[in-house]
Amino acid sequence: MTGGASTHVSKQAPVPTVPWGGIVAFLAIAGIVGAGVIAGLLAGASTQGILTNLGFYASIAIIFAVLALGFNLQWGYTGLFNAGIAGFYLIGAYVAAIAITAPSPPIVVGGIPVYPGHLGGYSLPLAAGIILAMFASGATAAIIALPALRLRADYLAIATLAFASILQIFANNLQSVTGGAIGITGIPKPIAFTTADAPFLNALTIVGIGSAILLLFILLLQFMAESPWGRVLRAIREDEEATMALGKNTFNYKLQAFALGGALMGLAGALFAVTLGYISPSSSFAPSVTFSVWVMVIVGGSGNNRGAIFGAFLIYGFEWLSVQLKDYIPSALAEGLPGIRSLLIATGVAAAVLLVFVLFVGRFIWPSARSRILTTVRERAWARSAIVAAFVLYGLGWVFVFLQQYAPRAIGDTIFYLRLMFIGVLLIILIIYRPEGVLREHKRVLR
Amino acid sequence: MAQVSGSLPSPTSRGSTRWAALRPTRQFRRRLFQASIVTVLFLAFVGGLTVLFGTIILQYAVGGLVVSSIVIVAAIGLTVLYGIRGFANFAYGDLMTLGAYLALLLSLNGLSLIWGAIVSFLVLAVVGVLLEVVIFARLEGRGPVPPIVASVGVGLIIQNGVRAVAGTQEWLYPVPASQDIVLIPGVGLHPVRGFLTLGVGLTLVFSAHVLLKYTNLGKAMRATADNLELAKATGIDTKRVTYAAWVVSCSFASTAGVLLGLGTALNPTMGFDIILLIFAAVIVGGIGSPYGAMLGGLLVGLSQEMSVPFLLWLERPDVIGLQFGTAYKVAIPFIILFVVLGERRRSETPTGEANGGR
Repeated sequence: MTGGASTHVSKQAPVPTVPWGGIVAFLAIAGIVGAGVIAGLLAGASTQGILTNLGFYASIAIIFAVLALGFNLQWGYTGLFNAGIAGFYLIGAYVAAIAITAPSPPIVVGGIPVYPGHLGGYSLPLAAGIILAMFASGATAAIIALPALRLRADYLAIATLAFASILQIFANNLQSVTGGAIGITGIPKPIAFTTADAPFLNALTIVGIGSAILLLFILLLQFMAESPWGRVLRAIREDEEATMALGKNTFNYKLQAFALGGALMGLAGALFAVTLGYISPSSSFAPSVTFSVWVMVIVGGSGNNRGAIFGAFLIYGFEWLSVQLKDYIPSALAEGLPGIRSLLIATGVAAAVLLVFVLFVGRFIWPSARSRILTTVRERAWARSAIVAAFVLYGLGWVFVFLQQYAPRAIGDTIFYLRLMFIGVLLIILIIYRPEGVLREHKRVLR
Repeated sequence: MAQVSGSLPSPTSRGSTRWAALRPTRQFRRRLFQASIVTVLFLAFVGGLTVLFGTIILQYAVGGLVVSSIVIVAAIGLTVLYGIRGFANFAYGDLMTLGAYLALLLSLNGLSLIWGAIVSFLVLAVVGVLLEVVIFARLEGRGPVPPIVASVGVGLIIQNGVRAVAGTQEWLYPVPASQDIVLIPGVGLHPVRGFLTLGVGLTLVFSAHVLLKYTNLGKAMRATADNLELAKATGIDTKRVTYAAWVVSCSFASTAGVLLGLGTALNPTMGFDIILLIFAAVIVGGIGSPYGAMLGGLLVGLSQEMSVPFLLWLERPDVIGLQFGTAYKVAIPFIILFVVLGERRRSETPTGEANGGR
């Protein structure tokens, strides 16, 4: 939009040309992939095994990216806050699973029902399942939004959260439709391989299909966001009354954006069902999915599709990495607890010394350093974020040591809880200090 | 108004107005009349059901009252904060969990449960003020969504901290075993789980009423919830009111959590599982209105518990043979919530800050 120099716009402040956000994004994801590969090599996995594992990471991250795109359309562009992402995700997964699996009757072993069966089993092709899933989720989103869209944002958040938790209750208990707590198994892969390296080929096809869909939708969403339609959405986000005054039916626009976002979440659910091959209501559709997607969009920068995808790959990367490392770390950590503690103490002392040096001594040795290094507001914001992040990591390290000392549990569990706590900390810190995210929304000047 | 700070009348006139407020006004009498009509209708409804299905209905109604008293305590705490600070505290359920586990920790380490609950009441009040100072004060004036996101973060930290420290297994308070006290044949109530919960609930409701109606702090809180700018303009120290709201909200959360843990057992998601019920009560009663929250809590708790016989009826093979019907009792308040949201749509119009300003 801002092509070339313009005579209409007065001189703007010089914008730093180095794309720091992009560099950080690239380095972070490369670091996660590298750490995963190293962990695999240390465990002595074959090349194909490592690649399969990476494929799993990529396919789940793509699913989260689609979720994040949907949420970005709802919140980032239109300002509609959805707290029930997990619910729309669940609808998509179940609709797709019911549509594409073969019929599965109830299983009774010796008079005891082992599996209650589930609705249908229509053996439709994958594409039909995906479209049905998108349609079902989108329609549900529209219905849920109808009463809540005219109200304040917090009503919408509560209504959608309530909706998601009702859906989980139904998925758990409406056994004849959903298969109960066991869920739906035997969801067919897109291509049935029979050779020995079937897992690898499956991962490859899933990643292929997923990235094609992701590419398609990011192009589509980018196009829609740049279109007059997207402009109205952003206008609603900034000032709904002014948009109404310009003669736009804001309710219709909000409804469309919310339904489209819901449809994208349904698509993610369908992809999830195909990727895993089974779905169950327990953990895959828990509220923490919703909160993770929030973090992804906020990290990436709401109102920015690239950012949403980056956030998905980064935040899911943490989860994947913690699962990868879980198998190697426990023994080392359990033995090395005193070592970790002394390391933490040493780091703390070093940081304190450094701080004293910088604050009191450094200004005599190198007086102009501060004004030379941190010149722009943005750099200072980055420095502050980095310091806060370092403090958080340090604190989490101490929490881990104390937990292992006073409430010893399986280290894998502790790491899991710490990861969720980390997501919580991240939500708070980001929303306070960097609500615009790492890759901020590209501000457009309209004329 | 020359003398701004406090802006209070002199003590003597304050005393007389206070007693004047106690005298039944015309409005009060009308309210009383309406309330008695609702009560009579409700009693007639329960009576009719009892005639149809037997005293089992009364048992569910009494159980519903116990659940309601927990929901009401929590809903008052949530709605006070919602009204004054203007955001939905999604961490409220987890604050309840924290309060319940604190009381458990103290009662396992020698203190009696009652003292544990009192200490946890005080500790949570401090936690609330800390939350405001450290996190939520920085998010003031940025619309309703950023505080919601931050409160979800707080909730995640509390919930998983509890999991990491206390484990995921269920814990029980050391409550002396005793028989239910039989009210009428077929209808009984546990002395601790039933009567104590009802008593504590009523006490807290009454104290909230006294605080809001007959103290200057309560008056200032109601004024701030009504209109922040106007309250500031009349010289009310809204910062102090905000802290008071956090204290009330979090300490009520602690007690509600202890009562909830008394009723069943403690687990790390006990608060998060009930948060939507409390939101339903708050929204049904009208955000920021403690008296509405009382009514809403009563409606939500009773409707949830009294739907059980109906769901059991649906479970019968000759009706529709619904499986695990009673699991859906949790969904009943949400239906009420959606109906109320649909109704409220007509009375509220979108405003400029309606959307999540970032």
